[in-house]
Amino acid sequence: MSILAKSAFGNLHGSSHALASVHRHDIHDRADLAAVLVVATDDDAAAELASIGLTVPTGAGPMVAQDGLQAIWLSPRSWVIQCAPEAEMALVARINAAFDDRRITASLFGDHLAWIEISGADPQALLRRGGFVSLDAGGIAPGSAKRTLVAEVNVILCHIEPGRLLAGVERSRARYFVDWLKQAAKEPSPAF
Amino acid sequence: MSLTGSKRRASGGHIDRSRPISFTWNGKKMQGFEGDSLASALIANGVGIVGRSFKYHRPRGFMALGAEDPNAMVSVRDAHGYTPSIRAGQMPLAEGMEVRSVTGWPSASFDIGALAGLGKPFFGAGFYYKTMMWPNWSWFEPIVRRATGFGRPDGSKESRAAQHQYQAVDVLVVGAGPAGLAAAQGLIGSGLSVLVAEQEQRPGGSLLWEEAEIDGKPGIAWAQDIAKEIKATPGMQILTSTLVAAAYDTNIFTLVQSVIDARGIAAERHITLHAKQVILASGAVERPLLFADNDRPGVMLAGAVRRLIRDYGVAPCKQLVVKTSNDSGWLTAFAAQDAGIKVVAILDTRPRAEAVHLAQAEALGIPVVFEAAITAMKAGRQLRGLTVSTPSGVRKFACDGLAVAGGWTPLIHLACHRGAKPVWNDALQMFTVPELPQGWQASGGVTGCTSLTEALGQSLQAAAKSSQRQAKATPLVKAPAFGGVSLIRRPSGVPANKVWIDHQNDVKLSDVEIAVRENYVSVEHLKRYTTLGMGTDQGRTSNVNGLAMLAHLTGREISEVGITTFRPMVSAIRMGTIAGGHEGDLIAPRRYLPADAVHRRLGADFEDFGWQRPDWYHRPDASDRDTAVALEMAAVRSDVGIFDGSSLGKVEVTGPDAAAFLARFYVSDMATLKPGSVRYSVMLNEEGVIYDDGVVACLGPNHYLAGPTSGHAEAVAAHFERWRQTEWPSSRVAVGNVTSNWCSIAVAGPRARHILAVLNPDFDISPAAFKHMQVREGSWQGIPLRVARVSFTGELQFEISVPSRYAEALYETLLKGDAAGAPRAIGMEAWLRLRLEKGYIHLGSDTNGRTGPTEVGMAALVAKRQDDFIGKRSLTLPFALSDEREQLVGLVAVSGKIEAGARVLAPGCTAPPCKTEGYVTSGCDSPTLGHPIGLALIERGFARQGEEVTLYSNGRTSRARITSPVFYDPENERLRQ
Repeated sequence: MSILAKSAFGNLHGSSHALASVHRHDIHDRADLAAVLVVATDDDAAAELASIGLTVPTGAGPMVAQDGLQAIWLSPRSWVIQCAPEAEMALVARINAAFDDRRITASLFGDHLAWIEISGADPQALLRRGGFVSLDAGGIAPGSAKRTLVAEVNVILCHIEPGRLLAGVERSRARYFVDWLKQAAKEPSPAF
Repeated sequence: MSLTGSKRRASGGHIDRSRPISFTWNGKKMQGFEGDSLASALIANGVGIVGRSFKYHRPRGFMALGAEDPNAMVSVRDAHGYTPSIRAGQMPLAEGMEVRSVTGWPSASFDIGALAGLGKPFFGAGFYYKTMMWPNWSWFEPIVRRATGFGRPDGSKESRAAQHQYQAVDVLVVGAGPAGLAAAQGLIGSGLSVLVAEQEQRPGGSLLWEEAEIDGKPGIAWAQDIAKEIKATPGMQILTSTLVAAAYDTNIFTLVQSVIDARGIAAERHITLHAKQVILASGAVERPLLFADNDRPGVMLAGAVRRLIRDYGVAPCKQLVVKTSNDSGWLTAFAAQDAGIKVVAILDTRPRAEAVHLAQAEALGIPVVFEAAITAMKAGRQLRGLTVSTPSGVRKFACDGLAVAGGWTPLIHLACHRGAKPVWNDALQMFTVPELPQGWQASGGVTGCTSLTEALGQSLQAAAKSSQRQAKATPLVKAPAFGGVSLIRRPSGVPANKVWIDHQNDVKLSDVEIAVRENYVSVEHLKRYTTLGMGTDQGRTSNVNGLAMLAHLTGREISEVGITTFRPMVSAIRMGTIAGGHEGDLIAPRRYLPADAVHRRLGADFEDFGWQRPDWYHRPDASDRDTAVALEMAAVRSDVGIFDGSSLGKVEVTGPDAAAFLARFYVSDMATLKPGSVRYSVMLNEEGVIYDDGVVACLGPNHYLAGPTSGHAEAVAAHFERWRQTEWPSSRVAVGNVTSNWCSIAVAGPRARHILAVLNPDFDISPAAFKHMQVREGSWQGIPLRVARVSFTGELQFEISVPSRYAEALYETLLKGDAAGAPRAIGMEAWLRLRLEKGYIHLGSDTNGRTGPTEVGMAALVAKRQDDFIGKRSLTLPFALSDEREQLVGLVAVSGKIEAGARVLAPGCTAPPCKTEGYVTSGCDSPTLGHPIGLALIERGFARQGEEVTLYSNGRTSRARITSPVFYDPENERLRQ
């Protein structure tokens, strides 16, 4: 018997699916992405993770890419490591085996977050209908990520490259978030 | 070309006479021009009375042309929507506008409500506090409400688009008058991102109507050139028709940008802005003077008269008297004379004026009277003349317009929103804010500066500081000065009840006198007792005069009296703009279960419990809620049901100190929890009140999974994190909220184990190997699987968790059942009633903001804990130990229903009004027991078992007996199956 895995949008897990094409932007369900949450009890966790070959950012902003993984800084003691769905369980097992006293813990997180890709003219401007995105006037720099509130929803925003942005949204709110995006991205009133 | 209206000048102003605009005023057709505001168009058409005052329904004309005008409230319908109440000066004129007065019946010109003026001697400050209390305020309320207020909403849906936007900039410049533009010019080339916000449609501020030459150009040309330069500079923008409405902590601002087309306000953008630095150049508004009958139509601020003439090409009257305490009035007199208005006299409260002005007045043949006081006005609906007391005797002047200039009130509101303290400057006779919030600077009128040269210099200095560069050279300015302002004095020789201070709320000098007599001598008390400054104009023209009179009457200085608090917004903004796109399903974030699609296929009827959750399921045997709930409950009690509990929180707490850490939060000692075990408990806040409840599972050494209530997971995770960071930073513990990663499907009922067996888990699920309050981890066909044997229903129950991507597959697999049959899908209502039969609490329903663990029967557990936990100390305080506290008990109906929310009446009472001793927290008809049951928080409830009480709900009473809260299987035999 095969057990179907489905994304927050009802798509088959493991590949990317178009969700909507809105004014000057496309929205995709990136069900081909998973993630692992890494939390630590001590401040030297980044160095400890390096000792098992995992490089994570030591501060806010730039993401660190390594061997098909993309590490995103959440706080001084926590990271999200983006990975392929098939790599998720192995990564969790690898980290937890290395730190069996649980001073560093990895948890499955691929289903906690729904990854939504927004591409087009100016994804950050679109998201700024629902939140600051960044308090830097220039927004989030390419290659950087941050957690923020958009449309009253906590999101992890990754600026992949100009015109492409990935939003990690808590799964239960993902549908609302995309509904909000569609509304925000509607052809603006000619008045604007 | 024919000009419209009787007061439009043949030339002058910045209106486009080639573009006429038609509109109506109270149904009468009128015409203005592009560039007109609604106020200027109405005045040009000869509208003198625009509304009525709040209390006495006195006729009101235009006093000013902006947000400071207390009088000109109108309703406006343009092509895009209806605005029930707005000042005419704040609305640009548009084709087809329907404008109506919002006060006065049958019309603003002839108002029957003006009869209220006959009662003036009795309607002084506070009269309603003294007179409308007997026999009951409700007798008066309908009449008062009908007679007062400004405008009525009509329920129509507007087509005006609204959009929200967030923006971050390096520098916000508030105002694009000369000071704001100079500041922005100083920032050009700095590389900073700059936003200049201007509430008028055009940049330039007072340069649009004041005579000025800057760097050899007319002021208006200078302003236009700088505005173009700003627009052309990358990273800089200038937003006109944009009100900076509020300032909040950390330099967050609310801006409202109106997008105006030929037919009205087509759209509004609600901008939440963060600025690292702020240059406040919001300017100042003019203040009126106090004298007898100063509220008559025809009395206008002197600056507004200048603007009408020079910006809008309107001559508001034929014969003008100017009364002034500074040079502003003189400038108006010269502008008026130049525009063909006969200036009858300049009345200056000061003993002398600038020689240059005096010489000009003499050259123009304008009579000048110093130390003049107006003692009477000849006016009904329109000014016809006035009587003036002068050092040389009484004089009378015929006029149909009076321009008044009483000094300036800086617009310091935004700085005050951020906590800046207004300080009275006696020399300038105005409140300013010498100490600004961090990162703020101010320039121009808002600082009290009345010199254009000085204002531009301040702005360039501010820009230099913001950009950390050398200041640019101040441009060469030729502009008239406004001179010094004389002190605000109580007008002499006139009755106090003829001197209006707040024109909108009808607050007179005599009202301030009453307030002082009754010892309302604090400025905040004065405001509330008299309503001074509480109108829609927020007292821009009345506050300072009122405070000056309070100071005079109490023998204090204005600096000692102080000023009332400024609060957001600085001017009204539309509710539709605040709401923006937040309507329908987008009003707030919705949360969906991972198996939501399955529930919809099964015919679930959804309710919002913070998450969209099935309340009950439509089925062929259950087309209504009551039937469905009864059948769902019966399935769990006699066979098996499945329930989607995915919303339950899942917070991982890990690390060497995780056990000790958790023990500090829960009433039960989680430190003794062994791997593979689960424990239920409650956690308290510091006041000893139950904050959350749920189970904690020990998944392995140093690895725990806390299960907060649905919708509370993020709050509990944050609660853990806050305590970890602030109180126990050295604790080796980590917190991770993984709620949405896992779906949790509960299988409950006597056959629950059989259904679990369908999954063929790779661990022993026999009763002996897998006991109540234990947890197991394994896999289901290679998929990570967690199963906790816990119960919310009183039946054998397993909570089965797999990653959420498999939620639909898991639910559908379980729903197929086994050879003996399929489980029934269970909704929230049945689930909650099942737990009610068992007497388990539902947090938030059976607890409130006072309920501690003792009140829900956990006293023994509390007593057993020797070590500390959050809230423990509070449980030892007398309040917590009182016998009078409400305690959670069961109720069994003796007669009638038991409804949640019903009040428990005190013994001996049969109906309210009477003392009540608690309330029903949960109630239902129990299909299992065959009678109504409930839980209730009742004073001394534990000691009252067996007592009959009367319940009161929605006009009905019923009787119930107090019992144990556990109605079903009190011995827990079914949990041990």
